[in-house]
Amino acid sequence: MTPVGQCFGTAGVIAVSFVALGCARPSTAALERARAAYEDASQDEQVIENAPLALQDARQTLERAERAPNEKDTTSLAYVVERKVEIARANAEERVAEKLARRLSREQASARGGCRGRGPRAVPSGGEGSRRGRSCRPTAARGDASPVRP
Amino acid sequence: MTLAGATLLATCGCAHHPPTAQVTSASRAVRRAESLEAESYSPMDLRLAREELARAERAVEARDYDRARRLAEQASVDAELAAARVRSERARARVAHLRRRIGR
Repeated sequence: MTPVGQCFGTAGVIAVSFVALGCARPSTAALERARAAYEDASQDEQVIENAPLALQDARQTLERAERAPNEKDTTSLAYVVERKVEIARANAEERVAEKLARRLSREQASARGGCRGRGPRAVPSGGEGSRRGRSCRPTAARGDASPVRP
Repeated sequence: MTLAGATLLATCGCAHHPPTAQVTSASRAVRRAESLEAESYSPMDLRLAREELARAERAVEARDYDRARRLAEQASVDAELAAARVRSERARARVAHLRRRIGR
C-alpha cells in the first residue's frame, strides 16, 4: 500500500471506530456533566476502594446514556448517572465511617482492658473487645451488694 | 386518525406498555427511604423522589409511557440516594458518639 493509501486507510479506520463507539453522536451538556462527575469519582481512591459496585453501576448507566436513542432519554439517564455517582460517594463515606467506628470500639475496649475505663456501662457489642471488656467488670464489687447474709 | 396515531407510535420507537415494573420499583425505593427516616436526614432528595414518582404515575395515566419510565427511574435513584445519605450520616454519627465517649 502506498503511503497515501495507508493514510486514507488509517483515517477510515479511525472514522469507523468513532461511529461504532458512538463518539460521532453530538453530546448534550447534561451528558458532559455526567461524564465529568463519573470521571471525577472514578479517580477518587476512597470511592474506588469503598464503593466499587456503586461506581460500576454509575458507569453502566453512563454507557446507557451514551447509547440512548433520543435526547430526552440521554438527559434523564445523565441525571441518573450524576445521582448514582453521589450514591457511590455516600456509600464510600458510610464504609469509611463504619471502619473508623469499629477501630474506635476496639480501642475503647482495649483501653478498658487495663481497668482504667469509665465503668461497666460502655460495654462494646460483639468482637474480641467484648471479651476483654467483660474481664474488666467489677463483679467482686457487685458481689458485696448481694443480699446473702449469714 | 387512530391508525395514523398507531403508525406514528410504532415508528417513533415509543413504549406501548406502561412501565409497571419501574414504577413499582420506584415506589418501593421511596418507601424504603421513608422507613429509614430520610425525611429528617435527607428531606430534599426524598421530596424530589416523591414528586417524580407522582409525575410518573400521572404520565402512566396519560399513557405517556416513555416519560413515565424516565420519571420512575429518576424517582428510584433519588430515593436510593436519600437512603444512602441516611446510612452514611448514621455511620458518621456513630463515630462522633464513640469519639465523645473515648474523649478525643
